[in-house]
Amino acid sequence: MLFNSIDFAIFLPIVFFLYWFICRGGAIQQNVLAVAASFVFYGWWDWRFLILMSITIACSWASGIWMTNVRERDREKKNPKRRARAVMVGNIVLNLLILGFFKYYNFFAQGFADAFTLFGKELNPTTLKIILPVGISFYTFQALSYSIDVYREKLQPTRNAVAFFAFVSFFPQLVAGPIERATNLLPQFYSKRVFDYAKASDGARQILWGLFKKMVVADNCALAVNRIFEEHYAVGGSDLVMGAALFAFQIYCDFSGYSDIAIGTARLFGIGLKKNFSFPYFSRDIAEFWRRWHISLTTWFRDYVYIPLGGSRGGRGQKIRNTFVIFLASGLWHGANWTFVVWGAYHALLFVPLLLLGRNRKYTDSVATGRKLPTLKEFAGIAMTFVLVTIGWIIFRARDMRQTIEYMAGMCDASLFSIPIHGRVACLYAVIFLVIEWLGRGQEYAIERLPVKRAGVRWVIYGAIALFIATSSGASEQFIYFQF
Amino acid sequence: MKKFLIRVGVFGCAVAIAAACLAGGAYWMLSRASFKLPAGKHILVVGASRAECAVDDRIFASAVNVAQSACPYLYTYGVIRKFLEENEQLDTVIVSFHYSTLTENIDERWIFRESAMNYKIPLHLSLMDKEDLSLFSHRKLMLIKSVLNLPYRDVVRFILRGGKASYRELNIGRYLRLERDKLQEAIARREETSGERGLSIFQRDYLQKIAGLCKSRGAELILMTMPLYKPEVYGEMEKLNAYREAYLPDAKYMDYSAFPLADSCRGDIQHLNYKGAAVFSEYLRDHLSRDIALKYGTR
Repeated sequence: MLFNSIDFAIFLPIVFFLYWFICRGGAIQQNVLAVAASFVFYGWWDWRFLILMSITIACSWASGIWMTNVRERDREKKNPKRRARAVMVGNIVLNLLILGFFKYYNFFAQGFADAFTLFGKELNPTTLKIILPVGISFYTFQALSYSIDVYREKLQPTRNAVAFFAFVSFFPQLVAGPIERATNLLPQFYSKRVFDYAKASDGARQILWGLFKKMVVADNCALAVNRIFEEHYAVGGSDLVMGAALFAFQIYCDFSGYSDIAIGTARLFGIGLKKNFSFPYFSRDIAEFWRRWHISLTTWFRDYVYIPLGGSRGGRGQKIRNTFVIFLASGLWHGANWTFVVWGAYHALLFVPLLLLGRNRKYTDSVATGRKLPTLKEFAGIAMTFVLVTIGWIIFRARDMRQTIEYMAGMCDASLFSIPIHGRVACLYAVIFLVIEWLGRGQEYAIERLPVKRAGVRWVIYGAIALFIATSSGASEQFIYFQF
Repeated sequence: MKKFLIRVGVFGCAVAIAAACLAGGAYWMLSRASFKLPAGKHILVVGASRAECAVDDRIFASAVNVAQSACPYLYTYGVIRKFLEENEQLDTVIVSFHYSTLTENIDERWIFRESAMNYKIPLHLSLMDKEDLSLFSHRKLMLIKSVLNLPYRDVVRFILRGGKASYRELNIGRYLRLERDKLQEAIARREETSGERGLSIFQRDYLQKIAGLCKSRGAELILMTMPLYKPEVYGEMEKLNAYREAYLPDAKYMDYSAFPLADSCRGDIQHLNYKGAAVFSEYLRDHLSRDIALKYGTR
């Protein structure tokens, strides 16, 4: 069920009604409904996916209790954490095996065979027709973080299975995040949620903004981007540049739009989710970009991979190794394709110099705070970062590395200086969007607090955004991040 | 809770009413566009991208090119009807005719796919009648969404011009100057079409309707195959001829698929770039009448 579909437009009010008007008994009723609604939402794609998700959730829940039990029993032993660690590792291995099988089996089987071919040996790998369950990377990572946090004793394991199922499967964030931590989300399911007008209206506003990003900006960009990437060999250099720039807006508006709708929807049910994007295209360098892009995944990798590896401590070689490990893992997380791996390596290459020079935390504030416009230096930094990120998006979007190279070579054609044919309307929407984002860059999301005092004018602006969605949306594209 | 529900409900209703009013007003405005052509223009060129890129109507000055890429005959029919209604001087309608646009995969790609509906219906809505719209009866929600997506930018332009805008502002088609010169790249990437493809009944029906319309209005219909690179390889010419004989035996047909052009005149296998369009348009300007006379006797 897509957030921008009629199905969801019917589903959401029904669940909202049942949640606030029927399940008034307490947290248990609300959680049972949240789980049931989440299963309907997820099963809408394919009911078989529910089995897989249930296994992941059940194993992670049981591993938490098991870890606590063995830790209690082993408290007096010489190495009290040994068996708890084994349980945690077991759960991680199981989840990664499921993820690996469904997402990476064919990739590695083919890669293995290709490697043999290099040595003159022919190997016919058995590739399988595997359907990738929607959002498997998201809920698996969420479940894993619970298991690791319980092992690290940052979190008390829950015996409340319904609350735990609600935590992992909660439908607004189930298929494309934000990847929540149990420390933030799970306790919210322990107590009864009470309707809060301010929270709900803020949620509705964020949904509106998310829909605008997705349906007006991302879907209109997608029309031009799909065509340009499909016919990259036949279109001019200026169109290729346009295609790359529009894809930068498409992927941002698509994914952050989804996150806004997810966060807004959760707020309608009295649940707070973490911020996932923080105006990344106003970053002044790559390090700042990565603090503002897909925050929930970036911090996941930081906390569960980068820091355990030693983080930025140690020698120069160790720093470089750790940086490459998380960027390559992040790239591979996006999918089983070499383009994602190269995309990760490309960002690692951009990040490492900043890290080695100790400039990776140079910009921790918001750009042009207290000013309307950036300084020339800030503007140059923003523009340069956008160009570098956009080059990365070409690698990310391309079908394979061959297409990436051809696409980039095509951009250097003499036709680079001609007027682009494709994507002019999408470009207009992207510019309008960028201006609104700039004006609202200090907030949780761009239209959180409009700089207008009169309520009537604010309503007119919300109405105009809704009207834009109704009258200017592109064809409903599936959210890009569903495939991850 | 009550306050929240009331506000959301009122907001939703207000937006729905405003959207309906906006779409209605825009439709009214767009349907008032003038399709009147200058007196010297008596040939109408319609069809999809091959015609769009091949006929430069600044060179072939007696013609007006309103072909548009990925345009099925469903929309072409509405365009022809409107132009014939408003221009008595139109005596010839040239319709681009290529086999690859007659197969059933075109139905989904050009007519029923959401992106196609979302793009084409708003542009052509003011030229469509109930019967045309009934084709989409099984996709009502998408149809409503497409109708709401009317080209409001054009409406603004209309208003700025005091309501005196013409078909050119509707973006229903024009000569497209193709800059590219990528024939070799296109050859290298061409994927072989495997197996027999069925024929589109929608393309067939509307092509026959176009023939009937031209006949009833006294305009001469000419099916034209635009220049292609190696038509014997890429043109499926035998199938095209068989199709014409089966479904449009009375229509005049001019085959320029093998029109001689240098490779640098081609944007790709199927399309001419601006250099090719200039050569071909000059030829049509000077020789089309003669060619028709040679093939079919007096005009």
